[in-house]
Amino acid sequence: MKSTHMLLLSRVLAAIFGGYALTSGVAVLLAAVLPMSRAEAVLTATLSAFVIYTCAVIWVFAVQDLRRVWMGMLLPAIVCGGLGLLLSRGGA
Amino acid sequence: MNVILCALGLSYAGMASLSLAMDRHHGQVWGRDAAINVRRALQVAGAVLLALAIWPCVAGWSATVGFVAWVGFISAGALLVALLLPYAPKLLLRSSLLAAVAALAGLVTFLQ
Amino acid sequence: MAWLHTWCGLWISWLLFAIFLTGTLAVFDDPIGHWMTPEHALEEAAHANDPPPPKVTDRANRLALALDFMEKEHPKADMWEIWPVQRPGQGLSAYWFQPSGGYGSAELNPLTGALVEHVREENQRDTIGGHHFVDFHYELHAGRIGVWIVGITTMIMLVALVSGVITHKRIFKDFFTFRPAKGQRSWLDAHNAVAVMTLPFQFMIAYTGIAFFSDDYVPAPVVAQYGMENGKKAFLSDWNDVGKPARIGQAMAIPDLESYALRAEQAIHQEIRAVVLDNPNDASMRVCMYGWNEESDTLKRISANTGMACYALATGEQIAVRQPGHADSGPAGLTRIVMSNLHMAGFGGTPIRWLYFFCGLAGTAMMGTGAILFMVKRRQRAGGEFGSATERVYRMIECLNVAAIAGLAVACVGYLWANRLIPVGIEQRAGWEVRAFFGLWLLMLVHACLRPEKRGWIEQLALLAVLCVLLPILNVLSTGDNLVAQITRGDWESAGVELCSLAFGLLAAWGAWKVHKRKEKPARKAAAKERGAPASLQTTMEGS
Repeated sequence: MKSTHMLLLSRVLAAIFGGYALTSGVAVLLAAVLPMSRAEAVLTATLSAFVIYTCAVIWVFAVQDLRRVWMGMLLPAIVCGGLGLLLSRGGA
Repeated sequence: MNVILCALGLSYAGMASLSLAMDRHHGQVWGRDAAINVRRALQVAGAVLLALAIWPCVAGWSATVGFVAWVGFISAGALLVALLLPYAPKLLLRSSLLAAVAALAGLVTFLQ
Repeated sequence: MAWLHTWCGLWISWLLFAIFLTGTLAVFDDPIGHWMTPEHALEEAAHANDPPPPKVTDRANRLALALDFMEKEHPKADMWEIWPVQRPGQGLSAYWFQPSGGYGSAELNPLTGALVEHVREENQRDTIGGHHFVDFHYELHAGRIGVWIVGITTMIMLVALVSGVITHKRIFKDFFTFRPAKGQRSWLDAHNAVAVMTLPFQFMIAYTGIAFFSDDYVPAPVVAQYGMENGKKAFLSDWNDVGKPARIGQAMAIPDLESYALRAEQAIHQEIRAVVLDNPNDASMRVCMYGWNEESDTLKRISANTGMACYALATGEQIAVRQPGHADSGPAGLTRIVMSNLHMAGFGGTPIRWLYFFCGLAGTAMMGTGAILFMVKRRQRAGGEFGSATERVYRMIECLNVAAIAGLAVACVGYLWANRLIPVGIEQRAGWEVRAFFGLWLLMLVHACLRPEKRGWIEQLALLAVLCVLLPILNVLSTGDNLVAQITRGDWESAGVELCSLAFGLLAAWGAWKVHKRKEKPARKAAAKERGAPASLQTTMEGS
């Protein structure tokens, strides 16, 4: 496969899967830290997820540097998700 | 019924006014660019008419439902204007003036 | 960004067009269903001038009968639900949770409490009516997989909407611009106009649509907070059913519920619709009374939540009350309810439904014009995006365009034709109507692949026109009822279906004629490109 195709594929994967990871991570953090009841926080997190996902995908295609793109997806995903799991209210 | 006619009339007239404030569409009706003061006047008139359209919506439904209805009416008004401009610009001008007058008169029914 | 918009838009355009068109038709699912059950409609019309039935005065007795029934038949169920005065029809219904999961239901005789067996009347045709369009719209008649496909498509739509706005640099200057009869220019103008002018609606409908299954699509926070085992059930129970008590294990007789119903009506100012009894015959028993939203309620509020009042039966105290329109869990719960109802136009009455119908058609047009624009542009000047396979891919896209746009519309009206043509008594009749829809659509796809592009459009649009315009005639021939008679007796639901069909038919005929008159511009030679050269990707990245 040509290298430009590989670069494009990488970007698309970053958008779809990296973006989803980021969305899930942020949602987990929101559900853990929002000052509301547990159900309300989870609801807010899932309802907001689609804005986050959309913005993430747009950002992936607005930024030139592919390394920055992947870092931008995975780093917040891991940090937010990790923090969210640590702070979760004793569910998982 | 009053509510729908009023809201639609104001939305249509308001969008027509906003469109005629643009040079391209001003030219479709009058064959020339809009003078600066005419443009301002049309923009203000358009904005006022669109804003007034909230009134029958809220009166006919409620604040929340009325707001949603208003967004729907101004979208419909915009589509009507975009459809008429290329095919019948003079008709657009006359019908939107008529709509504005009739709808503003109709607003009186919401005064109590 | 233009590249993103084009390719996101194109690959989902065909499915999304179908989702949007069926969604738009789903706004009027009940009127369509009414037209599709002509025996029932005529029966209704025959009784239209009957005096309204007298108000029910024996609700206390009805509640007692239903409780007896539940005690005998389903004593172990941990939730009993009684609807003492159904609408319409003033019947008596009982529901319960089955041990296998899912709701059980029974229709009871309001005077004796005996089970009413449902005998399908032989002369009434079996159909799912307009709900076919609803089911296709959100799950493609494919259960969980369908829900996921629709969800993914909607997510891509959100990206396409945002990237489209970003790409459209002259969005304000070109707001009202529509220049007809200029080929590619006109298609782009039309695409921009229908999209931009209904943009608030498009964002709203896409977002509220995907929000329905938000906890399925993004399960991570649910799992993190509620665990893997039954996490979803716990979450739903937490936000929907605030304060459901746990069983104590101490027996207690069920007191008279009518007095609680009266108290609830005082608290929420609505007539009681449903009585939900948790943990029956246990000391922890809780009864929640739910109200009916009257039409005036739906005109005033977007939220569909009815009033609710809950009482602990051991002590008689009121443990929760919810005014109509509010949510139990809080602002996020209310937002969720409002989003659902915003999506389904379950508020504001008929005028709102018509506004949604037109905005839905605009959205459908947005997708159709986009898909068509893609090929109009490339027939002028090929893009070579797929290297040596480009011409074959273009041909495939053209076939899909015809089949997804004209072909789908044929399938939709064909579904109505099937309703009249499939014999009334046959087995699984409702399923056959849906099969007719899919079968016709498949047939249109095959036709589109076999015919050259222009002929494909003309023939399918002409077929669409014929089927739509002749629908009222079909009705006369198959049921004896006609449009004038419908209007005369005030049956605007059926008349509306037929009048809209006529309007769509005329539109399709005009479309077929326009394609027929289309002058083929000689395509400018595609810029010489190397096989699969990076250059082709380069140009598409910069902007199509």
